[in-house]
Formats: sequence, C-alpha cells, structure tokens
Amino acid sequence: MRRVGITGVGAVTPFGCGIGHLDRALREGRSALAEAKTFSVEGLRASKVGEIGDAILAETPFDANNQRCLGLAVLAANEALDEAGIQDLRSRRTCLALGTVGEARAAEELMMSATQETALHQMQVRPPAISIAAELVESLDLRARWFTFVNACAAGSNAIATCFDRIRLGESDVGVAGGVEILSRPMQAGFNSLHALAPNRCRPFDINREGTQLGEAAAFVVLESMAQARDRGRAVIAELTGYGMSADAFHPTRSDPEGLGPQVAMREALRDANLEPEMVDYVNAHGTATFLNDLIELKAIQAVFGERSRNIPISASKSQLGHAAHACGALECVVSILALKGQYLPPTLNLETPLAGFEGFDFVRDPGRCAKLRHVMTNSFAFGGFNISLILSQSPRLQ
Amino acid sequence: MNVQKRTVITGRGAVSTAGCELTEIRKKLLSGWVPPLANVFTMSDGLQSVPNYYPLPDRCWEPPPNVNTRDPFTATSAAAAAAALRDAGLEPNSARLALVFGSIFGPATATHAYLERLCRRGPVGLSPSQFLASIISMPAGWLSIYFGIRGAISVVSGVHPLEVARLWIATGRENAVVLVASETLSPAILEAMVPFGEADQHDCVWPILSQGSVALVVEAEDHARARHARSWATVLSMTSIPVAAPSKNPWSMSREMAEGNIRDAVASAGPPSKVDAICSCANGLSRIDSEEAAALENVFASPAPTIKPKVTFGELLGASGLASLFSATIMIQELHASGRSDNPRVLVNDYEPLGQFSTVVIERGQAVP
Repeated sequence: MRRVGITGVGAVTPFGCGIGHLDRALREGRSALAEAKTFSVEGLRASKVGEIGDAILAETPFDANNQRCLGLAVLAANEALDEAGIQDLRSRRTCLALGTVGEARAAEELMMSATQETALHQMQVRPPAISIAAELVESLDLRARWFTFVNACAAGSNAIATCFDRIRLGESDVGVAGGVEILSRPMQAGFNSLHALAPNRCRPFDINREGTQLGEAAAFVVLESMAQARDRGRAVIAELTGYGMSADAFHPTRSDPEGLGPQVAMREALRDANLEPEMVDYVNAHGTATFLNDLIELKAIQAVFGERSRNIPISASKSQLGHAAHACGALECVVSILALKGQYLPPTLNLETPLAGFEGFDFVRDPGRCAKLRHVMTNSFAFGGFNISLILSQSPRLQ
Repeated sequence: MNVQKRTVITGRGAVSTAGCELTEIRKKLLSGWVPPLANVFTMSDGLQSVPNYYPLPDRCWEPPPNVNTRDPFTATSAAAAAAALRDAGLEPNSARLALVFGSIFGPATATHAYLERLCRRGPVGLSPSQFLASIISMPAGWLSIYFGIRGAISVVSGVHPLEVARLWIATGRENAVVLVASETLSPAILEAMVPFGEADQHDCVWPILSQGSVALVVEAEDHARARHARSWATVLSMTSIPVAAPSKNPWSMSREMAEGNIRDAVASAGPPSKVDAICSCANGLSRIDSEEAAALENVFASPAPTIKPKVTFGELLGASGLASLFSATIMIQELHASGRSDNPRVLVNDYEPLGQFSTVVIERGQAVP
C-alpha cells in the first residue's frame, strides 16, 4: 500500500483565520476561552467558550449565522489546498471527508428573537450534516467522492483516516479531510445537563479539574501519496503513518475504568504505523478535563506505553482551544502536525497539580517547549465509546 | 499492512415496511408489493401540505432481550442487527466485530423531544439522558454495547456504509463488520422534503418517505471461509460519485455522471460485462428515475430484469443503500434458485439525497467448503 503524506493544512480557530494564528497562539500558550458573545448562555452553569468572531466571515460570501459551518469549512479547506498547491482537483480522483453535524446557529438566533413555535420549527428542519459536505464540494469546485462522519468527537479523525485508507489503496489521488464544529445553545445546554462544563477554567489532567469548555473550529488537511507529492515537487509537511480504532462497548459517556477501548485504539495505531511504544515522542491527548475521561485516558496511556509513559510529553490542546467536538480530532491532528513541523510541544494550560498517581508524568505545562519529535500520537475519544488514535511522523525530508 | 481483501455478505436483517422476516420480505419484494400509506403525525397548520409516508407494521420487530430502549430508532436498528448477526452465525461478544452505522436524520423522535424541551422550558432540569438520546451517533454506541462490538466504529450520514467497511476489510483492519442503516420520520423531516417535490401541473409528487432499519454483516472472504460461513454474495466492485449540484436541488441527477459511474463499476467487477439483474434506485421522481433508466440503457445493450426496492420499502434516505443491497442478495438467490443463472451477478444503484450516486456489483457467493 502507498505511503501517505500531508501537503497542506488549514484552520479557522478562535485565534483567527489561518494556520499562522493557531501556530503563534500554541507557542505563546494563549487561551481562546472567554465569555460567549454570539449566543445566549442564559440558565447555563458555564458560559466560557472558544468562540470565533463573526468578523472572520464578514468578507466572505457566507452568512455568519445561516452558513457559519460551511463558511468556516470553506476557509480552512481552501487554506489547506492553497498550501498543497493543488489547482486541478476536478481532474483528480479526490476524496472529501468531513466530521460535522452541520448548522445550528440560525436556530439559535431565532430562539432569542422569535416565537417558540418558529424557533422549534427552524431547529428541527435545519440542514442535515450531509448538506455541509455537499455544499463544500460545490464551493471548492471538486468532483470528489464525499464522506460525512457524525461520530461526535471521533468524527474529524475518522474523516482523516478514511482519506488515508483510500489513498493507501490507490482509490483516491488526493484527500481533503477535516472537521468543522460551531457553538450552539442546544449543544452547550446538553453538556451543561451532563455537568461536564467548567464554569471557570479548562484544566486537563489537574486534580481540581471541573469540566471542559466547548469551542468552535474548522480544520483541514490535504493528503496524497508520498510518491505523488514528490513527483509534483511539493514538500510533505508530515507523514500519516497509521491509525487505530475501537469501541468501548461499555457505557454511553465513559470508557471502562481501565480504558480498554482507548488502549486498543492506541495499540492498533502503533501496529499500523509499525512503531514500538518507545518510538513515540509526544501524545496530544484527547484531554477533555472532565472528571473521569482524563483519568481513564492516562490509565490507558500507562497501560500501552508502560514505563515509557512517564517520559512521553503529554498535552491537551482543549485547554487553549476548547472542545470542538466533531472538529476536535482534525483540529488536534493539525496541532500535532504543527508540533512536528516546528519541533515544539504545545502546553496544557491551567495544569497546576497533576492527577494523583500520575505526578511523575511529563505533562507539558505552560509555557510549551522545544523538543525533538519524530513520531506523534493524537487521541480522540467520543460519546458512544468511539476511540481513534492517529500517528503522524516527521516528513522523511526533515529527518 | 499490505493486503487487499475481498468483501462478502454473510448476514442480513431488516425491520421494514414489508415486515421483519426474510421470507415475508422476499415474497413482497419480488411481487412488487406496495405498503399502505399513512400519516399519523399530528400536524401543525404549517405542515398540512406534507405528503404521506409508509409506516412500519405494528411491532413486527423484537429487539434482543438486553435492548432496553423505547426509542424506535435504536430499537429497530438493534432488531435488524440482531437478525443479521444470527443469519451470519456470529454470536454477539464472541469475536471482534466492527460497526458502520448510517442515517441522515438519526433519532428524530428523541431529537424532537430534546429540542422541544429546551425551547419551551429552558436548560434548567434538562435530563442528561434526553440530551444523549438526541445525538445522532448515540444509537451506534448503544448497538456496540448491546452486541459487544469492540472493533472500529464509524457513523456516517448520507454515505453508503459499505464504502467505509470495504476500506477496513481491504486494508486488513477488520474481518467482520456489521452495517446498520436506519431512518425514522418526524413531521419536521417530512416538511423539510416538501420544497423538493416535483411539480406535475396540478399536483406535486414526492418520493414516498419511509421508516425502517436494515443490517448486513460483511466479512473478509478468507475470514468467512475459515469459519465456514454461508456467503450470500461477493462484492465485486463499488463506485460512487456526486451527480448533482446540491444547492440547486438535492433530488436531481446527471445521466452522464450516473452512466460513467455504472460503467466504472461494471468494468471494475471484471468479465463478463453483463449483469443478470439490476436493483434500481428509482424513487418515483422522474428527474431521478428517467436519468437512471437512460444511463442503464446506454450501458447495457439488452435490458436485464430490474427490481425497484423503493416500491416496497419506500424512500429510506440514509438507509436506502443498504436496503437496495439487501434486496440484491434476494435477487441473487431467486435467479439461482430459478435456474436462470448459475452464478448470478446483480448491479445495485443507490442515490442518496444531495446527489451521492453509488453502484455496487455483487455476485453469488461461493459455496461453503
């Protein structure tokens, strides 16, 4: 099977439109989490979110409310395609894969301003997730086979893994894969009902963590075979070397106490990438900062990496960006690519006292630091017990 | 990994307008049986123009004993999956299984209830279970718990579940994958389809929407052989392509694109280039049906016998691809049993709203050694 490289990345995050904004914010250890401005948090326990300013869409053809999801996705995907330098997509066998549940923002506006009947009606008939991928295909002028994944926090990574498989098998020449998530009151209210939101700070792996904070983002990568990239004379930013997937079959919102499902995903990713645990230089954790998930993820890392687990740098980007749900896997994949490319470790903010029993782990605290990175693992674990781990490796050119 | 394995279909299950038992479904499907129309929803004033739909027969399904949900979306999905696993001879929890779950609208009833509760009474007192039940991917999570599915899981929307499973099998990642696709309806979903009806002078025509769950078990061919499983069909090829400009109309199709896709599927399946039967994606809209018919006519010099599963199952939206594949395995059995072909080959078209058109070519599975 063919080796697969990443030749373009793009992101729209609360830090701004473009990879440059994200890269700088990660290096500087800034937090994007602040009081919500664009939707009502009335009656909710937590009001801090990672929100993208409406101004980002102001100079685009997309409406900041009705087409927020699509607009963010188009901006991020175009950035990735520009970096990859691929102009003739219509003539290539392209795969577009997207993690998203689509638009909800228009309904939010109505909830605040219109009658309950109108708002309810609008929320129910909002475009389904598939319409985003379909519109994206049209906006980018692709003739792509498209996939929409809706498996919550695993969706973005699942999208990337699917393009990876198609390119490995020679079924696609180019993959455009990523995720997009927008904030909405129904989502915020749902996490609020689970008591999963932190009213103050998002502090993954801290003994005093109090929950996660939601965020919105769009993040995309362009994948192609290493051989094709070489023939086109394009630089490969990172190589996607493997992934692993598993299901917990345990509980709708948490893994079993030892994290058996996440363990399987991580082990399979290592096997797929043909790596030994001691070869992994950094784990970008799912790290939601919720009470059970952080503990279980660390137990799983400990089980998979053994003694090595105490020496692997671990950080959780949700402390900076918030939890971008359907986009988080793609977003954290992009963060991992930036880490590999820049040879630095982004920090976990607000981490003061690590979880009991894991004090000796190498949590990357604020500020981040430089490091020699060759292989990086990024984890995504979703409601429903869906686990996926991706492994990215330094571009052979840079090794 | 350096493998490219073939995929076979070893298990089938359905909770459909035509019933839940394979014998009954087969009989109705082959005779072109049409279900009775109904509309039991209480419609608000703005929803009076919504078309009727095909309901499921009253409680023909029986979910496995450990399935404790009242949500029909999850319950029918579980019942179909249980039937498919039984048909494949696979015990839940006994081996590594993977799952691809597909739906466009997901658990519509539960989503409706959650949004209504939030809208009318605000977030205070919202129950976690109400929120979780409204999440489109959660039924797949429940299925993994009910059946001990611990392999890979994907939840797709508007994508043929076989597309993803086939990749996992081809790369050697998974050996056995349960495919489940399901749709339930709500007044809002019915209304959402209204603008896409087809003007016919005095009236409008909609594809008749339907409800149901379909499940197939697919396996790597060597895996099925090793456990002496009966194979209903071997997947010879699968091709997919977007055939419509979605912002213009989600129910439209380009004949040329469909034709190209069908030609690719037939060529990829290998010789012979003829097929013994066709499962059409026709759903009653002339702008889809006529384009597909013309595409097929251009590809095949002499027309093969054709069945239209949506006549019996209705338009199952995100579950229609699996319903057609399910129907195609029945066609294969029928063609073989009637002596019309020793090794029947069936071409299966599927059209997902917004223009994903896929073609699968399957052939009768090899006999159990």
